[in-house]
Amino acid sequence: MVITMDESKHNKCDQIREQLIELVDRESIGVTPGNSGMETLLVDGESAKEHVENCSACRIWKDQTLEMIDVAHSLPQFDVSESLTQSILRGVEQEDRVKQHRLAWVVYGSALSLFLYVLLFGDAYESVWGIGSWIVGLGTMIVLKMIVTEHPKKERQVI
Amino acid sequence: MLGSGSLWPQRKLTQTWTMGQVNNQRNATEITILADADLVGKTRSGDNKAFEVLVRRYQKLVYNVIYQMTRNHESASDLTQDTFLKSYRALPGFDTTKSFKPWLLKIATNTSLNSIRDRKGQQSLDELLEANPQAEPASAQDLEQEVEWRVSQHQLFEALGQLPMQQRRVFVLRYQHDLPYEEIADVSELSVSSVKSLLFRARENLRKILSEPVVISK
Repeated sequence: MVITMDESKHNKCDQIREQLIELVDRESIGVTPGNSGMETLLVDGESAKEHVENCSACRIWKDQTLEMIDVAHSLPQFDVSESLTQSILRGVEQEDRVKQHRLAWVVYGSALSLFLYVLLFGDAYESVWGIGSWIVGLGTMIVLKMIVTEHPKKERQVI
Repeated sequence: MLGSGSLWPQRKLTQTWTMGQVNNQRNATEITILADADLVGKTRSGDNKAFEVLVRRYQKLVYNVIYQMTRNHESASDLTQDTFLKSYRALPGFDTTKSFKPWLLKIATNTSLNSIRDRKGQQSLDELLEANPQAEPASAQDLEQEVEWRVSQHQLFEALGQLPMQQRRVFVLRYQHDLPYEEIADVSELSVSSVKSLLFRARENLRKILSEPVVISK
């Protein structure tokens, strides 16, 4: 395959541009045309700085690209209103409450199941063990209730 | 009633209250300088003040990224709120060895894309990401002319609006918000080389759009 002079020059321009943009991306803000990194950037023995000085297409490409990136950096950014922040935080609080309700239903359901089990199958009235199981059931309900109600109190204080 | 002796308890009380205030102030300052991973950990253990710090730290970035995608302030507000609620729900599954910012931005951009897709009907996500109003990469000859080339913020903003969503997203993350390639790859769920290729296409498309003569309507 024969590579013409034009193709070879074009390939070199592409390589230079590719490496220049990597350089710009590395140095990010504050990059100005003619920065020092270009001197050390070599493609086929020629420094990027030298190439850009002699190649008008690459010079224009570099100037346009750097200007575009500079403007992109300076694009205005909108501040977020306090009302939006507060509505996000209210949403989070609401989210916790929903989670809490779900947990409460599970706990109350379990407690009720335990109560019914003891009542129907535990011979609750007929022995000391029966009375003991009633006490255990009652204790379990109290502890679970404490777990469910303790958490939201703490969160209300934090928020 | 208040003699010189009775002043002592009052002074002590005032001093204690002031110290309490100082401590509260110090705690508030301490929490705001914590790293993201620590704040995530505290939020997981039920400290919602820590999540508030995360919200205040990233809400502006999230809002502006979403705004560039939707071009509408009302939608940007709603989607910012959705983003933080989704992230709060997903926080228990977040891998704290990874960076919080790209994770949050991934939620933000996916939420925005889903919302835009819903508004546009049946369009698939791929179609939406690639959909392009006009621009195609310009030929070298079109652009490489020695002409006065000055770009205003407004022109660039308008030109960005003409880019396909995928290109716009990577360009905005890279050049407006200074995210490194690796983080953009995380946010976009692409490889670093795909990000570089998208950035290349975005820059060339923007140069083409910005080089077109401006038609001034009467």
